[in-house]
Amino acid sequence: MSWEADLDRLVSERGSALVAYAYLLVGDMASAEDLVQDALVRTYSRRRTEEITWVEAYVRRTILHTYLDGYRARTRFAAVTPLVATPDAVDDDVAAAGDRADVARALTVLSPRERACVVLRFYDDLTLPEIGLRLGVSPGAVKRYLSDARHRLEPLLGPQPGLGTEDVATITRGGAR
Amino acid sequence: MSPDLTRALHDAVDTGPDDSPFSVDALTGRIRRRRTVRAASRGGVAVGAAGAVALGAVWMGGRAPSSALPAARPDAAQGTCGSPVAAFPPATGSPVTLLPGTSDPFASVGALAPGESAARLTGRTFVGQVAVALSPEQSFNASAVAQGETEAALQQLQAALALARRQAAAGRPTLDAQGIAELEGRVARAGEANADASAVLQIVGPDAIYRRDLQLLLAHGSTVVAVGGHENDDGEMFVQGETALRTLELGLQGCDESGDLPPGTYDLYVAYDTDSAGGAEADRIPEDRALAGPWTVDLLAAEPQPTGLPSEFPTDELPLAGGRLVSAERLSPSPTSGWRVVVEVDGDDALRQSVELLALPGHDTTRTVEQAVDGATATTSLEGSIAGWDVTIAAELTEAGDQSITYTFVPTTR
Repeated sequence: MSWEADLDRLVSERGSALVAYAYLLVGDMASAEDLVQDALVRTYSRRRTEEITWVEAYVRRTILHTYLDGYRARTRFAAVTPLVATPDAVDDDVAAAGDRADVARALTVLSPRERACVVLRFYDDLTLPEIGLRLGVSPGAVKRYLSDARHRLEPLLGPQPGLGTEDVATITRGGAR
Repeated sequence: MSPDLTRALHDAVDTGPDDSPFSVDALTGRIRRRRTVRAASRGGVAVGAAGAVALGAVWMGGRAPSSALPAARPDAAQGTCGSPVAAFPPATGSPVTLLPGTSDPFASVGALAPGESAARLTGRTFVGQVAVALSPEQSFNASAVAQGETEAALQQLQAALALARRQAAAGRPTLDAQGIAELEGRVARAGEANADASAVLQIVGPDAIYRRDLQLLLAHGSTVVAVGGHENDDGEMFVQGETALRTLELGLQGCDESGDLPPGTYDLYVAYDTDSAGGAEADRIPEDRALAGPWTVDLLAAEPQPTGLPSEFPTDELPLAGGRLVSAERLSPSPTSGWRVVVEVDGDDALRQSVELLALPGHDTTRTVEQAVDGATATTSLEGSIAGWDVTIAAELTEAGDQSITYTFVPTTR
């Protein structure tokens, strides 16, 4: 099968899911679609057709890195601006109802890294060390991001015991050498 | 009732509409252009190389063609020439990542995920930046505070000062009087910065040093064929916030001194000490070392100097990067005027090779001198002088992947 056919099949079968995944990260539909398209261009410009079996996972990973790269670039050049811009209103087409709408809306209060950690933990089902590896940060940092996310999300969503991070040993900040 | 995050996120992603969210046609066009350019570049290499052999052209800067690979030595010590990658214990999550060492401004600036391409090279050296994620404790110990985070910095420094004072009072000092005085000074500066919410401040203490014993390994199959990045190295890394950074180089020659490695796709690993305190090479024990990666490194066939240059062009004085000649013309009709030469090139290290070939003095070729992005085209340029010529080199890269080097040679007053 040609790469064009692979791409067509991926977009038609999983395109909406990829956009929805990106939407969890960026919080607005236009940016989510741009993010997915950029990730697909990067993926298919280099990939061979026989690797189709893991292409969707690879695209999701590229989406995450492209999103965080943009976050890094913004913070590098605009260090004095607020790190968390309030996204546009949640798109009604995606956040259709109930819990999904509540969660999608609540995620917009998180910082980019907190949001990435929540998505990797609860959608990608990664462990804390795996999230750290994916983001290039320590498991301790992941634990902090998730803990901060819990403090921000619980006032909006109610108790979130799943955001507890007791499975990772705490590193004492400022410990003696 | 509180929503379940796992179910809500899976619902949000996996229960959306079935129709395509956007047209694939435009996307296909973008991808096709990029793929066509890459394929054309690779084809050009082969044609150019064949022509060069017929004309007796020389390989300059790029790797000399070779078919030799260091032999596998299953019993070799971990991380040494010919040893198996499997000599390292399985990694279970690594704090070590690789940042692209490319000059491609369109490339990702974030950490490369394992399996991603780290570089496509025609030259003899890989340059990459290794990043180590630090724990808050390590970050604190390195005494580095990230830009802008003035409130957090102030709290962190105040806590550190209080801790140091308590330890001193308890007869277990970790800082002497001078160290405490320095810390007090940093607390004062952080307090001043925090008073101005818009301040962008970088506070780096005198101990902003973090060491990690890092080593680059290039493997073909499962065998280590090149080793680099650790010789005469004290392991010192630059600390920024919760990340420690270090630029490492790896020579692309076989570690058995068999010559330049042949073209192909290789796996790049970073070997590191799992004991973050570091330690001398002599103290290493295999169980304390682990591997991050792999990332892919494509070694491209070396290209000869471009053919078809005007006969009066001084090729001996002005060696050009290997590639396909696009144009070569005088700056003016005068036979004593300079030259503008455009060469289509391949590989992420074309600019670096151009500078090295001309031996432009005063340029650190691992750094960008000037970079500008205009729409879908980025230009990296630098200037210098060699005997008899003022030289400007501009590497142009389009978003579609076209890459060219434009040389401007202006004769100096003789």
